Amino acid sequence: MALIPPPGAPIRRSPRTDDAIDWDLRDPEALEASRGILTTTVEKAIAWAQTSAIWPATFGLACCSIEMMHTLSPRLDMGRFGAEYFRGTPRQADLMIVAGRLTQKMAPVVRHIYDQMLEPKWVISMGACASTGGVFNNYAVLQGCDKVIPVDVYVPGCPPRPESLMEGIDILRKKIGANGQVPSSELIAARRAERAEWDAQHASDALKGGPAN
Amino acid sequence: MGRPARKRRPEGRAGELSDVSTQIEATSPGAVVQEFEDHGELTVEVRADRILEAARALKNGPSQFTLLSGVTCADFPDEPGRFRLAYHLRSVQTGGRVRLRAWAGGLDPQIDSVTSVWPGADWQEREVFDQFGVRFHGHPDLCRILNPLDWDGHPLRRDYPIGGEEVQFTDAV
Amino acid sequence: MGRLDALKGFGVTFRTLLTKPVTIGYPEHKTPVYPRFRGRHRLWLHDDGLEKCVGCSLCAAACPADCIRVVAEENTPEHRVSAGERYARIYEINMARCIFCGYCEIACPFDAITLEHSYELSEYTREALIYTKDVLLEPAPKQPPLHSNVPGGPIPPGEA
Repeated sequence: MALIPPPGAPIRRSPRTDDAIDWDLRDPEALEASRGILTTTVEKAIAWAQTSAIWPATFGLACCSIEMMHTLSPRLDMGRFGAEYFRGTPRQADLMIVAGRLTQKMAPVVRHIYDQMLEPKWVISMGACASTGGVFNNYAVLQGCDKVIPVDVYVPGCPPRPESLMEGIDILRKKIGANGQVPSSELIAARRAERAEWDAQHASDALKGGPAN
Repeated sequence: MGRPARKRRPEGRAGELSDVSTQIEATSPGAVVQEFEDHGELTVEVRADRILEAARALKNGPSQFTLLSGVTCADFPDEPGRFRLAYHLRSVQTGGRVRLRAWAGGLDPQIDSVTSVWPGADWQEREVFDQFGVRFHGHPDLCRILNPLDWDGHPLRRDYPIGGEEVQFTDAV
Repeated sequence: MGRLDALKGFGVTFRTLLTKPVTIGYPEHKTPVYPRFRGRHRLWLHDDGLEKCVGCSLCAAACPADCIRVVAEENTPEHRVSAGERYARIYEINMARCIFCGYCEIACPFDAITLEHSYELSEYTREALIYTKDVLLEPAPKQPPLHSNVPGGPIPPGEA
């Protein structure tokens, strides 16, 4: 398949983050300095907007995707949280719910799709297989999608009940700063450190490359 | 307007289906190594170099085994032939079933491809190649189908490790 | 009559608008479960405070995902933890690997481990999903209610 670059291909990396756009990745000190009452209100408003309309990308891989579909059913309506609008293109999505077994063959594709998402973006690893490989501890299944993409929330279960996934989305919203809680500077610093550490660990990983578009 | 009653297809009886071996022997003498019947299922073992002739005989012959249900393989590391392929055949016209077996050899397993006889064998043989490493001569496009294209090794062989990683726990000892 | 058919369709829609929605208001109202629902695990104690788990590792042997780690230790007269000869000094379950099949519950000869009804288990890190013995001994903080058509139900959460 064309998605796997041939061996020896030059690795073109897209710029991962841009401090001017990604407000949550700016220096915590700079953020504190710029924080005034008006700015805080704006940040609260931004957090409210982001958490109230968090659009997932369709990434249902296996059985967990059925339960993810159930969250869209009338019984547990994810539209109440604004997350009903699953985007077909990752470029318009905020959230990637990795629902199902991630195989070795699919790993570069996940990375590619994650790279195509615009900041700010979050990842929920849904189910046992996406979190750690689950019961499939073998050569074919990636033992956790956090080997190729950074994960914000892990939802255990096999499959997790749709309510479990909704709770996962709920705690993700708390992490983003819903209900008027602006993410504290510690949380921002921690997130930045986590990203930097993850990047450093995976710097030589060929999977991180990809066409810049 | 009622529906016509469903006809039960006659199961292959032992007397009929040992004609299978007869048909194979007719076109390719010496091809059949052995045949046996177990639980009502007939299995015919043929020599690997005669598999194509046997396939043509069975498809075009009176029993008309026109449907290939699957090509599968099993790894027997202690046997000289090592990889035992199984071709499951079904006749839509007569309802007969038969299983063809062939040993593909151990060190460099090869066998003729039956895609010229049953085109549906295409991906089945690709899977056998991917998982066991058996090469099929005359296959239109023999490449990996389940594993990534640049994968090393053939995972379903007995000497291939299961893989995976150690389950994570806390560091308490 | 094409136009009347369209109106009939609209009629279905408007009638449905007036019916009661089936949505369970999830975070405020938890979905009720049936008694044999397999949720988060729980380790049990006898009435006198001794643990039921004797560290036999049958649950670890039965687990298809190999997600239970048991390290047993002898009970001494000074330090008696379980009701048998040995107790589980280390008992951990990697909830991120667990498939909630219930085989550990079936395998345990002492009914020491059961699967309770709690299904709200999400965490921010993988390490937080490795439950140790002290976590498993406690009942889950948020248990959903039982279905109202279960005989004897609905049982308020925590009293099951």
